[in-house]
Amino acid sequence: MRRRHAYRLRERGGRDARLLPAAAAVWSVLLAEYMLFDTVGMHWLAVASVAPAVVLGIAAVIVVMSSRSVPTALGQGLWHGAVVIGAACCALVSGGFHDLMTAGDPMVSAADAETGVSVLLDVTGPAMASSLRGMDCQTDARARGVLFDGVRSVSSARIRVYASDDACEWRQGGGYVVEGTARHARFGNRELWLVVDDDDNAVVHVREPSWRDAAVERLRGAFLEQTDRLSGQGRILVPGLTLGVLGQDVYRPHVEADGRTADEIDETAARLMEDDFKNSGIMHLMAVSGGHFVLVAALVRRSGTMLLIPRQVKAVGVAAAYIVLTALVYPSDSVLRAAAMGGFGVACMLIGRPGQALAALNWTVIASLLVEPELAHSYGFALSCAAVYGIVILDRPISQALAFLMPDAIARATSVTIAAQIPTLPIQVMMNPRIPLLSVPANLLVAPVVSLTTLLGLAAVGVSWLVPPLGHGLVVVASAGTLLLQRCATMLGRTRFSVLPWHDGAAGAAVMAASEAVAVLIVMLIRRLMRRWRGRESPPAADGGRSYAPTPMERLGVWWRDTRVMVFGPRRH
Amino acid sequence: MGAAPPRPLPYLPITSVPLPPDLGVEAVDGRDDPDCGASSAPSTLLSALAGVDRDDAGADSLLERSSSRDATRLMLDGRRSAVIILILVFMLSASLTMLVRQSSHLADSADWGSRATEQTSTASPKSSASSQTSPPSASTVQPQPQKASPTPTASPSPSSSVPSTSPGTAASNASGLIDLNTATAEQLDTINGIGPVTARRILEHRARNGRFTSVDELLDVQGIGAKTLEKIRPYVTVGP
Repeated sequence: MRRRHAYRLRERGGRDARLLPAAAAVWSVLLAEYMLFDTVGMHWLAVASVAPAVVLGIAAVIVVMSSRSVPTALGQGLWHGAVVIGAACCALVSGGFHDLMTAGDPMVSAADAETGVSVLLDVTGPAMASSLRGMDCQTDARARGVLFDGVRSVSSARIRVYASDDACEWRQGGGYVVEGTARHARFGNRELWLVVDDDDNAVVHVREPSWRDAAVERLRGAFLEQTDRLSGQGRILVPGLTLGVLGQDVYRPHVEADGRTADEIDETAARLMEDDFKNSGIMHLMAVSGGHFVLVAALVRRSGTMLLIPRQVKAVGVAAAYIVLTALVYPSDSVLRAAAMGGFGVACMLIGRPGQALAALNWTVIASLLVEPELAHSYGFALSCAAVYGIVILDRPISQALAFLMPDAIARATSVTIAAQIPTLPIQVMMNPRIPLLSVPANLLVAPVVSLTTLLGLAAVGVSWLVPPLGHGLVVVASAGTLLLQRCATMLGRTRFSVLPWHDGAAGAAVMAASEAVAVLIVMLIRRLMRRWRGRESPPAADGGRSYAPTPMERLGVWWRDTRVMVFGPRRH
Repeated sequence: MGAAPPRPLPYLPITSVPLPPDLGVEAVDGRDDPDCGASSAPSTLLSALAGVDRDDAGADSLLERSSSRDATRLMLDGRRSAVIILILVFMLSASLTMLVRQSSHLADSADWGSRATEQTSTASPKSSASSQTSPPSASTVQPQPQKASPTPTASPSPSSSVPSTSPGTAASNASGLIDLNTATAEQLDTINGIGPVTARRILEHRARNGRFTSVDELLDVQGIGAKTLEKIRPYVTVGP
């Protein structure tokens, strides 16, 4: 009993891991349910009706017993078990109903039959270059109604629409009636495809996009016009760093309105560059994630502080900036995660509390997965969350350990890379079974440039529609930054030691996780051996003191100071 | 001085720095007191003079290393568990509400229903029924009664539903099929499955490589794949 009281006294409020079991339970239940849905099917209805009763029963028990706060292991097991079971039941209900809806959608039966359908849809993403051979463009959309086999039905499926030529006039936020063939996806993260017929009237525009979508389209279009005037790597990488879309994935009609044709990007060179980035481990820079949001928030906060704006107004400003940024960049699951976590940070700033990354991340994961269970099997969301979990949990211990061996700045940059890579490598191996061995030096090399280049790119997005020459200037400077990225990727991505092939699939991921655990154990063993060899493992003295021996960095620092005094003379203040 | 010597405070580490006698602080002699352990020493801590506690360090790293609170927060109690479960149930109900809303968009399907009825019931050619602004390539609604089941074995009766607005019917031979070697772009465009750009590409292929010798050569044209070929095969032929 006394030990538990002692633990409660030793708890620190700034590292709040109380919801970690619940987040893990929600994610694993949704994954299990997704994998087992086809075999279990309609039985979900029975389970789903029992689950809420279980949750409410647990809540009632808790309320009855909540007068006693039991710090023993049994008590803690009870409370944590209640929260985990409640979270698992909620996840089961949410995932079960979502899967029931998507399985019963008329688009699925149309895709099974692979026949022509007429679909009323809302376009939810921008038009991009098609990943399907033979078609010109693709876009993501949400079906609202399907005319299939003479029957009109309501639908809510998420589909990817492939089209060619004149049918590629998709405007984000617009409503269309489209005729084409529905099929099941062969790749990609949408499970249903709609291949538009090559016909004059296969696409009918029935609803204009809202003014917000039109404004976003104008901003993006002006920015991409400026990046099109860059050469080579700038044209590919600057949109990637800024908006999350590589230059070759942007859809460009072959003939502009005034007859000018946009030069096509050399596809082979672009694919080679993409491979170089993947092999050197810096491909994550081309996906929008928390870094953009942190930059924008820091910008708004600093300017607010300089202008002596009160904290609540600054928080509202940061929230507005987050909303604009989420709308501008190309939609993706990692953007969703970063925006949700940013929302928690804004809320903390509003009520005046210091933000906590781990608690915010746990709540983000739980809320996102309950509201949108499809994110549980989305690679982008999983990679993004794993990277942030790694950074939040592992960054500090690793940087403290490395600070003994290298200067502080390098230790911090290296520890961020290692901490982010440790949880994401198993997931990455499932997508792409190669391990980038040189990712730590690659990330170290590019770290100084990334923030500034991203800021320049975002500034260019903000001004290109108003003052195109200024936008072009900003984009040219940004492309100087991406030149460094490209050189680094080429240099480190093409050596013989860049890539370690690995087993793919879930088996490869399990082996990867096991190897990481073994590597961590080896590192800890080496540290203990070094400490024992250096004689610092003596037990602490009676008054709490520990024996001191200078670390390698401290010895280097002393040597450097002595050398400087010897060579340049003592400092005169 | 009959009082017992004061106990040193338990959390202050003791150092053996001798204090000046006029400070007013009692010096503790631990050797006389059997209750004090070996941790007490003959003088109190220098830090007691400065008023600095062990937890009062200024630098973050020092705070991290020697703070008394260093454990991750993991303990729950009943009230917090109840609040967490209530928040989870709230999120679940928000999720299910949005799900129900998505699947009941009756307004949109009504709007589209009229358009689909137009498409399926009217057989008049090229009625410009669209009243909204739309891109020029998709501004007219054409009746497509065979849309629901475009199987490759459809009978040639669809030729009656293909609105032939161009008077140049010389390119279609007696059975109503369009000859690939003599058709114009407008005639190719009227085929269900060939659009204006594909028609242009067929003409370019014809100009570059000479006449078509069989319908299967359409596979060489960019934009025509196997499925499209099966769709347009009933309407085209290759003349002598």
